[in-house]
Parts: sequence; structure tokens; C-alpha cells
Amino acid sequence: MPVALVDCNSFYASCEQVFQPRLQGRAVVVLSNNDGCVVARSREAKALGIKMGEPWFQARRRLQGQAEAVTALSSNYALYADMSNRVMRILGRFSPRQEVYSIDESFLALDGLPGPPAVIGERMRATVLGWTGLPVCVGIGPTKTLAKLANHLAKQHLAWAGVCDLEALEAGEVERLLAPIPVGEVWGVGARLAQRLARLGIDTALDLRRAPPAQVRRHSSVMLERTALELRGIACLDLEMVSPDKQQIRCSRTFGATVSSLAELTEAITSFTSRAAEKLRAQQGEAAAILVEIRSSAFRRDAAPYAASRVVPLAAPTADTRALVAAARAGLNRIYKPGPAYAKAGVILLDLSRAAERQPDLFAEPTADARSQALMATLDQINRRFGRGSLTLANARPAPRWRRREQFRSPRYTTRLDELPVAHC
Amino acid sequence: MPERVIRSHPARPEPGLGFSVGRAHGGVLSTPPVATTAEPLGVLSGLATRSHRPLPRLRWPVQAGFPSPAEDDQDAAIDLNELLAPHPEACFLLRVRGCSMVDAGIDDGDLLLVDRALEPSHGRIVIAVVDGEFTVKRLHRQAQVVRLEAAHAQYPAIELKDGQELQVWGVVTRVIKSV
Repeated sequence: MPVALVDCNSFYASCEQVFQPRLQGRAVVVLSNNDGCVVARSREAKALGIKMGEPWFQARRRLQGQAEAVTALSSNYALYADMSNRVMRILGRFSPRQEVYSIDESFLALDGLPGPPAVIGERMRATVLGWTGLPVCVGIGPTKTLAKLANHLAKQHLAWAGVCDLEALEAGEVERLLAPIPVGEVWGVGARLAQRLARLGIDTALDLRRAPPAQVRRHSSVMLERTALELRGIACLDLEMVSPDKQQIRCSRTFGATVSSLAELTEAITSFTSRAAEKLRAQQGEAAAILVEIRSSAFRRDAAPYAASRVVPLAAPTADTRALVAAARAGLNRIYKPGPAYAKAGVILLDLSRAAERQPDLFAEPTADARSQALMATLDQINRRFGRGSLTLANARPAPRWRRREQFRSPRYTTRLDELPVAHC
Repeated sequence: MPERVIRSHPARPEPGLGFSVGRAHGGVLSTPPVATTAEPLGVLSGLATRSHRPLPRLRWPVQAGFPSPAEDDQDAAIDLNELLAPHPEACFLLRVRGCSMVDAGIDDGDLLLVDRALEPSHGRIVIAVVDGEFTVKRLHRQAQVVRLEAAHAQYPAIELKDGQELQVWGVVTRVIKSV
């Protein structure tokens, strides 16, 4: 069963380069929320030695004069999400079986399609590049784990022009390619597991492929045994074509500036709960409880850190923003303490279930549910149409102090009519 | 003589939708991956990616025994998305600034629909990258000569010199303007 893993190269940075051609061929980094850490690097930025996850102020200091050659941008998630949707839809034209694995990665089953897998892979690469301007690499293998490794190889070997089909190679050749890959690079093997494996003498992807599966299982887990089998070309993991419903929905943020007053925290919690409730309704879910958490800045030496959280159960499972916000505010009132400079707050919706599968409440007013659903559907529709946050509960203020810093965000080129790219003439 | 002409790729029909074109990273057209680009497989493309367009329901009640004479002739409503953006994944909107294309009906402030799935062939209006910025011009590419022509008497064409590469970002298919 040939499987392809298609992965966008330096996805966030590439999205920026598509709409700002002057950034092509230059070092570009994209920063995390609040412009803190580097979360994406163009090839040129990697060449300068900028690390993934590195705080930007640190990288800038280290680079000294060279830092001026680097363009640092805030995350522009509206743009990345739209470009991701385009890429995933283009790839979906090639195969009926697609697993969207992350914002910039997709597995596709290639069996039963006309043409050799490598040719299909090359068409995918060329079509995504032509239609969106985004470069991708394609890894092909008999299992998902090998497809992932093939993708890793395709990125390293420039001569392969972005496509690597392990199935087209002799077994000896595959082993020669796996030998230098550290076992920690294998999908499903993290850094910690890699350390444990090193004690068993398993240092590389090839070592794990050759290790007896039963022994792997004894020393580790069934999951790792599966990984070892997958490295041998025995498929153990299926494509997950429908993403499973989330078991929890979290919305939390580090504030742009710390806040102390209950009023401001209430605004923040209302806004986060509204966003989480929107996500909940998007998966046709209901929550039976909500967790509220607040946390003071960990970087202040003048005050002891304070962090607190509380779970508030709902009277009945609900997806109604008003009920969820009321519960979240009740929780916040219990844990709020005047004094600390709060740096972070968040909510988590818990005990999620599908709305359609709920037993109706014997004591509830029968029409209340329908009215709530109609109101929430209208709320979501208005926010989809006029932009997130257009219509909110009165407590959620549109441009508060705690909103995240995004000083260097590029325009939302593909989702806002007033931020379109300009064509000079 | 150094190669300076945008090579034309053989048109590759994309299933029922138009043409696809291959580009190197960033769309530099002088290094075409000709043999490698091809159409996505036809079998699976199509309507799934279009906007949702339900059949309209009849507005009047259908009486038993007396069916509406229009029932069999109901058509789906006209879908502007389908008209304007036949390849939704490859279509982008850009805003015009300047007046060098007024004789082609492109005015300051207009919206341009750009389809990156189309081949930038001779005579088409394209978005080209000039000095790191998007520029809208008419592409002239014939007999080894490549230039970007304005549609205004006072603006000269941009000639490509030997060895210069022209990066075409996309092909303009529609102009949207307020009247």
C-alpha cells in the first residue's frame, strides 16, 4: 500500500514569501504568539543558524550585524490557515483517501491510482507549487512511518527535487539511507524514548528496523513495536480520514501586557470561552464542565508566583456561549485574588459529547434548547461572515490591553478584502 | 544566444477546468519542470471543492394530483464563485494601484482575479514580479522577445534583457469594478 506524506517546506515563512516576493531568497523568521520565539524559518534563516523555538531577542543578539538581514514577522494564522486549506484541497484531488495530519502535512493513499507513485508524487509537488507558490516535499513508502522518513530524506537530498519514493529502491539502498538517521527522527520516537533506546544499542532508524519486534515490545511498548514493524514495511497504522472529535477544547493565551483587575480578567475569560464554545459547536459537541485557570508572571522577582484553576460543572451539557461564560465567570470569581500581575489565563471545555447523542433533560423547558441553538447558530454565522469577534457577549471587549502582541504581522492577504495584495500598474 | 525567453509548456488539460502550469520555486519560468508537471488525476477532482450550491426549493406548495409545470425544469442558481474562480485553490484577489493599464479596462482601485492554474501565454494580462513587487501588465512573448506592455500611451513597455528572468506570479482572468 504506497502512502505519500506531503509536507510544506518552511510553511509559515513560505506563505509570507508568496505574497511578499521581495522576501524570496532571504532569511525570514515567523515568531510565536506575542512575538516571543521563532516558530518558522526560511531556508536562508536556517543557514544563519537560527534555531526552532529560540527566543527571537536571543537569536538577534547572537547574530549581531547579521540580524539586519533577517525579516522577523508575527504569526499570521488567518493567512496560514487559508493557504493550508488550499494545499489540502489540491492534494485531495489526487487521492480519495487523505489524512490531513497537521496544518502543513497530509498523508495520501496512492494504491489503486493510475501511474507510478513517484510520478503522482511529482505531479502533487508541481501542482501545489504552481497553484499556490508553496514548495512541498513528497515522501513515499509502504507505510506511514516510512513515508515520513522518505519525506525527511526528500528534504535533505536536493538532487531528488523534492520527491523520494522508498518503494522504488532496493532493500539494500533503503538500509543505506536509514543508517545515518538518528532514531529520534523516526515518527513516534521522541527525544526521551531515543535516550532509552540508545541504552539498548538502538541509535538509528536502521537499528530500530533490524531490532526484533518482540524485544522492542518487551523493553518499551506496543506502539514502538508497531513503529519497528512499520520501518520494515509492514503497515500497522491506517489513514485517519476523519479527524476524531477533540476530547477537550482549550483556549488560553499569554497576555500582551499583564493585567491585575478582575474586570479585565473577566473580559479575557469571556473572550476565550466564546472562542472555545465556537470550536465546540463546530464539532457539534457539548461540554459538561469548564476549567478556568489564571497564572501570574513567572518572570517577576518582586512577587511570589500565583496560579489557580477550578473546574465548574454545568447543570446540563451545553454548547451555549452564555451558559459556558456564566460558569467560567463563577469559577474565575472563586480563584481571583487581587494583587498578582496576571500574565496568562485560559479555559478548557471538558467532558465533551456529541449534542445529538444526549438524553433530553426531563425537567428542562422543551423549547429552550431549540432557541439556544438558533441563537448560537446565528452568532457563529455572523462571526464567520464579518470576521471573528464581530458579535460577542457584552463582556468581551474588542481591543483590550491583554490582546496578544503582533507587531510585525503581514496583511491577511487572502481572507480580508481590505488587506489584499497590491498590484502596481 | 543565452536563453531569455519564457518557454511555453505544452498545455496540460486539467480535468474539465482549464490548464495547469508548472513553475519552479517562486515561479521562475525559465526553468520549467516540463516533463514533470501534469494534470491532477481527473477521477477525483470536481465539485467537491466548489461552493455549496443547493438546488432551490420550490416556493409554492405542490398540490397532490396537480404538479407544478416548472418542477422538471428547475435549475440550480448561477454560482458566481464557479464563474469567477474555476480553480478556487489557485485563485487570488489583488487590488490595483496605478493607471498604466486603463486602456485594458483596469483602473485604480479595481479588484483583479488571478488564476495561478493558467498558463501565462502571449497576450494575456499577468501579475509579474518586478523589483520585488507585483506589477500588472500584458505579457508579450513571441519570437524570442519577452516584454511587459502597459495599456496606456505614456507608459513604456518593460523589456527583458539577455539573461534576465521574468517571474510571472499568475494570470489575470477578471476585473471587478464598481460602476
